This record gives sequence, structure tokens and C-alpha cells, in this order.
Amino acid sequence: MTSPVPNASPTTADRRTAQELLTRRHLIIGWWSLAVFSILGIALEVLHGFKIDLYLNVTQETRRLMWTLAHAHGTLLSLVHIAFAVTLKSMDLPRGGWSKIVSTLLILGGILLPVGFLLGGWMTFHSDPGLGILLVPIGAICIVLAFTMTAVNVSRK
Amino acid sequence: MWAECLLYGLAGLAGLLVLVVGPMSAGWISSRTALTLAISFFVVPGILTLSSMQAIDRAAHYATTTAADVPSQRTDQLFAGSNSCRSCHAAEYDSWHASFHRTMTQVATTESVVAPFDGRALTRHGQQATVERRGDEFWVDMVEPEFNLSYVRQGQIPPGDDVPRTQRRIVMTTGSHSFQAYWYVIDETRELWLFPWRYSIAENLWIHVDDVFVQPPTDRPALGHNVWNQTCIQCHSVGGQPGSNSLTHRFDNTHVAELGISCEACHGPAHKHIQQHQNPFRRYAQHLSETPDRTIFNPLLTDHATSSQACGICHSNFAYDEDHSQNKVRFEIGNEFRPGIEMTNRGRFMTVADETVYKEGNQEISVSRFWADGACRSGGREYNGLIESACFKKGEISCLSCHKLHGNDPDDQLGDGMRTNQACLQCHTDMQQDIPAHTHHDESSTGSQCMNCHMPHSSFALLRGIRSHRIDNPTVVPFGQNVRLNACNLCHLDKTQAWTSGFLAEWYGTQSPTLSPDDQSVAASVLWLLKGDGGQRSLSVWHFGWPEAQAVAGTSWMMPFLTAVMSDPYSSVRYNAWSAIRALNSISPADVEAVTKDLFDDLTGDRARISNTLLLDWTRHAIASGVVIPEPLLGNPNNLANGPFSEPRLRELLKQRDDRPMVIVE
Repeated sequence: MTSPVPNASPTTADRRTAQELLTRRHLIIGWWSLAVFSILGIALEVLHGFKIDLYLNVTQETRRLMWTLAHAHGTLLSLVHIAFAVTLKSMDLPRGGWSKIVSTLLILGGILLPVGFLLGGWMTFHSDPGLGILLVPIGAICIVLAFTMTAVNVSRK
Repeated sequence: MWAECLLYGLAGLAGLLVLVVGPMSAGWISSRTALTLAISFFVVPGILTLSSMQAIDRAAHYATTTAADVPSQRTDQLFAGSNSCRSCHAAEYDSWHASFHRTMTQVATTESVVAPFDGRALTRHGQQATVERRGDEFWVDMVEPEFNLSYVRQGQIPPGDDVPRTQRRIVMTTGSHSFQAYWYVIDETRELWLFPWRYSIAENLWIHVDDVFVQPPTDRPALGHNVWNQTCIQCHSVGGQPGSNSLTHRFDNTHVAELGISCEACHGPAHKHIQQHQNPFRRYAQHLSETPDRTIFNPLLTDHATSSQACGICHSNFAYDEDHSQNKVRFEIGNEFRPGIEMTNRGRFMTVADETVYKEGNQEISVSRFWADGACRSGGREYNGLIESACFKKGEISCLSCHKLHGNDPDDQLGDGMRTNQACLQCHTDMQQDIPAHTHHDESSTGSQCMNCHMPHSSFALLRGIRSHRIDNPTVVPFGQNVRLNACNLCHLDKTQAWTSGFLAEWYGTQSPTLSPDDQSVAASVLWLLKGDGGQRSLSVWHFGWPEAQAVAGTSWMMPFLTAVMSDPYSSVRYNAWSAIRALNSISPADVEAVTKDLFDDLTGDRARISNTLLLDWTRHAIASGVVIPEPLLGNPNNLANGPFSEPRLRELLKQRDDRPMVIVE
């Protein structure tokens, strides 16, 4: 009869399971949001193609900028989700709850940034974006924190 | 400044992150390195931010300076310049940029100069000038202007030949819509003087300044010393300061915030507005507030009287009171009025009581701004007319009721539908259902166009009729000095004032005045054309060429009158007579060129020769085709054996012409 390895094996297994779940979550979010924001890109191209006034009129410059930023940030952050998943999968990162925190921050940032830009362009105050833009700095802080924490932990490894 | 602070804050946040997260991540960086990095994040951006703020401050005070000969353009603690408005108000900036307000005053460049400086010679009063281009510069060769000035000041006529000449570089332009005028520098005084010829853009024609206005004929050359620094600077630039040195009388320090009429001319100085709205919190507070922004003037968000004064600052005849004398304005302080500030604190708007007379040589010249009934005689002074209108006094009309300064056709800058009856019907809604009931004209007729009756072309400027902005009802007044041309007869050119008076009495119950035999028997337009003063004649003949009037009154009878006034002493009358003749007849290009050359200065006699030929051709054609001219148009309908037209009657009326010298001040 062999005695089980006390404490270590279940914890590692649990951690690996949790990490796999996180990896899967970010792959799903990454690819789906990539699909969504690509569709947004096509929508913007349609607005260009048909010279739609509400997007291209010289008075709608703020809206055009906001929606372009929403598309760009949404698409890039989708790739970041995928990159994060690949990072989790490929590296045996140190222990700790940091990956859950980073995951939460990335998801929050990935929603708040593009949605903030989208809403900011939906209703504008002349040259200023609408109040939806207030979501953007919150999302930006989430993203900056997530990137920094990931960078630190990747470096520590 | 807020952008800099935001950057500084972000850099600080990054420093904080390094300081906190770095040491926590064991082995990554040491605490000391983290501290050094964090301090760097605070200090380096701080230094950069401070230095950039100083640079921005310097740039605000000395934004742009153009060629040394042109008044310097610089922004200050009041004026920020149109480029500062662009980043937030791009659409408004674009529509202003496309307007003729912007191009009212420009530095002379290959882009701004529209006239052909092609080496051609221009002649007037026996003196010649040539215009030429040297690379990207525009030059004129002309008689030394100070030489002419010395003669004219002594009441003498300068000789045409053997006079000192000078070559001057054109440094600045005025106008880009109807005419363009050109300015050069007098070195001794740093004044900008007007080159005596200006260019008619529509006609593609250089016209001497003596021929552009309604003014008596003169054999003296124009002085050409209209000084931009004193007069034009007040309305053709923003924040203009004449900056004359009271000891040397030199305009050493003439400067403007911006050449041309830009954002701050109508919205007031914007420096404070820009400074405050760089703060995003203030900006959003303003967006969410229902009270107007107090840091800038918006004519759309104020009462009709204050709103209209933003335009009236320049579009009016105004007399400063003694505390703010013309001299102080013209030499020192410039036009201090700002939109939103009550103008009558500094003077008063002129009225017909301000009409004056001045002496030149032995003749007295009437300086005319108003008709006897108080309406404006000249265009460009619409505010004086507007404030006398019932629509303004009893209603709430403002300039912006019809005009739209942003986003519409730059020509007249009228809002959508404002060339139609919609302009009036937006208030007079009760008339919408049955317009002919009020006008007694068919709905599609030009007589059913509100503006033709209530805003007739009874002002004159830029060699053409301009709509009166004193909105009133057509009235018949017996022909006389300074009497305004009534609206009805500006379309019904072939009818008498008695005919008009009868209809006004029948339709509207207007009291009929006692009219002279001429008013009862001769068409009003003919009386004004043959017996009127220079201004009445100019306006009447312009209507001979007005398509609406031609459609109503016909044109078959016009030629004897038009050829008769081709020898009128006033250039503005001859110019419009020739325009009407060209519109009526197909004239050979050679004849067009010959008459156009002689139109202002009869050098070869071609004008008289071709006019006589045109009259003979018309008479032959009229006899051959049995044209019957009615009596009010000096026809002989009952005695065709004497020809269709009574030439002696025309000569008799011409002898009664009001030759009182007069100037219409534009």
C-alpha cells in the first residue's frame, strides 16, 4: 500500500484544472469577441461604402472617431484574451490567485473599453463624446493593471 | 494645459505601479531600482509638461506673423484665432472657411489674387497703370499717388503726362465675391493705400474706383488713399488695432488678431472660452447644463435685438459719440465693439437726419445714406433698415431668422427655403393658405413673392440693386428728390405711379397721394431713369436688366431709354444700361469689346457710335414689325406716322435730370 503524497498533488491538480478553465474561458471570449468586433468593422465599412451621413458627415467627426476606436480596441483586446490564454497554457506560472484577478480585469477592460467608445459615439456633445466615454478610463485602468500583473508574473517565472 | 496634466497624472500612475508591484514581485527589480524608476516617472514628465506649457503660452501670444508689409496677425489674452476653434467646432470652421467672410481680407498670394496681373495697361483720367506678376508677387506700375494727392489737395487737376511714376508691390486683397481690391504700402507712414483699380469678378473687368460707386463724374484721378489701417481694419479684420504713433503719425504697430471676418468677429473674443473649456469637467458640466455658456457669445441663443447687433456692428451706418470720436477709433483703439455688448453705449445709429453735404471745388456734393423715408440707399448697411421694420419693433425678427452663417450656400448665406416665401411665412402663418388673397397676384407670379413687395431692391451697392432690409409696405410718393422708388413699379416698369396708386387704394385701402402730371402720364421707371438723381437713375436702370421686371413689363420698348442713358454722366448708370443692352440684344464680340473699353472713359467714341446704331436698328425693326409703344413709355400709339417713339419727349425729360452731385456711401 502506498500512501498518497500529502497535500501537494491535489493542489497542483486543482490549480491545473482552474488554469485550464481560465485558458478555455479566455479562448472562448477571445475568439467570440474577435468575431463580434470584426462584424463591427464590416458595419463601419458599410457606413463608409454607402456614405451614411450619421457616420461620415463632417459634423459627426467625434462619432466616427469613437466608433473607430471601439472597433480597434475591441479587436485588439480580443487578441489579448487569446494571448493571455496561450500564456497560461504555455507557461507553468507561479502559484497564487493573480491569474484569476488578471482574468477578471481583462474581461472587464475588454468590455468597458470598446463599449465605452461605442456609447461615447452614440450620443455626442458636439466635439465631445457622450457620457458613455466615462467607462473608458475605468476599462483602461483594468487593462493596464492586468498587463502589468501579467508582465510581473511572467518575469518572475 | 489639461492635456499636459492628464499626461502627468498617467505617468505618475505608472510610477506608482512600478513602486508597488515591482518589489512585490520578488526578484524582478530591487526596491531601490523601483524607487528610482518611480521618481523618474514623476520628474521627467513634470519637466516636459512645464516646458510645453510655457511654449504653448508663448505661442498663444505670438501665433503667426505674415509678410512684414501686412498688418501682423497675433493672438492675445482676448483673441485666440480661428485655428483654435477648429479642433472642437470642425463643421462650423469648415463652413466659415468656405464663406466670403473669411476671404474679405487676405495676404496677396497666388491663391488669393483673382485678377489677371498680366502686364495689361489700365487707363483713366489720362493716367495709366500696368499690372503685372513677378514670380509669386503682384506688382503695379502707376503714377506716384502722393504726387496726385498734392495736386488734388490744392484743388488742381494733375497733369496726365510727364508725371513721376512708382512701382509698388500689392501686399493685401479685399473681397473675393463681387469685386477684389488691392493694397500697397506707403513706406513713410506704413499706411496701406488702395490701388485705384479694382477687379470685377463676374465681369472679368478692371474698373477704376471712381466708377465703382454712385458718385459724380470727376476729371481728377482718384486719390487712392483710402487708408486700410484707419477704416477698413475696423470691420475687415478681427481685433484690429490701428496702432498709429501719435508723434510720428506712422502706423508702426497696426496689428490684428486675424485678417478677414472670422469666428471671433461674431462670437466675441474666445481666449477665455478656450482656456476654460480645456478642462473636461467644465466642458461636460456645460454640456449637461441648460444655461448658455457665458464664456462665449452665441447669437443663436440670445434675444433678437442682441443677436442682430452681432451683424449690425459692421452692417450699419453708425456715429460714435464724442467720448469715442472717429479719430480715436481710426488711429488708436480700433473698433472696440464686441458681440453681445450694447452698441449704443458708444454712439448711435444714423438716420436720415444725418444726411450731409460737402464741398469739392465749387460744387456741393450730397452724401447720401438714406432715402427721404428713412430706408437705406446703400447696401451693406442692412441693420439700420432692419431695426426700423415692424417685424423687428413689434416682432422678434433677427438677421438669423433668414440668414444661416454655417452650413449653407456662401452666396448671401441664406437658410433653407429663405429665398422663397417661407422666409416670411415662418411667422405670418395665417397667409400660408391663400397667398393670392393678400397679393392679388397669381400664386406663381413674382408679384406673389413677399420680398418683391416688402423688400424691393431699393438699395444700391457693388453696381447693382440690393434688397432693402427695412421690411415695409409698397407706398406711392410723388416723384422728387431723394424719394425712394416704389416696389410695385420696380416690376411694373411700364406703368405710372398713378396706376400703382389706384391699385394700392383698391386692394389695401391705401390713401392716394396727389400726383404730378408726369407721375400720372409717364411710367415711373422712365421718370426715375430720366429725371432722377444719380442714385435713382442707377437703381432704375438696374431694374431694366432685372429678369423678373423684364418678364412683367416686357423688353421691346426699352432700347431708346437704355441707349439714351449710355451717355449718362454717372458711370454706375452707364454700366447697368450696357449690361441690360447686352442681355437684350446679341451684340458682336468686337462691339462688346469696343463699348466696354469706352464705358467709363470715352476715348474713341465707340460707345456713342454703337449706341446710335443700336437705336437706329431698333427703330427700323419697330416700324417694320408695327411695334406699338404705349403713351406712358413715351410712345406715339395714336400717331404712328411720327414713328413708334417720341424722341422729343425723351429729350425734354432728360433736360430735367437731377444733376445735383451726390455720393451714395457704401
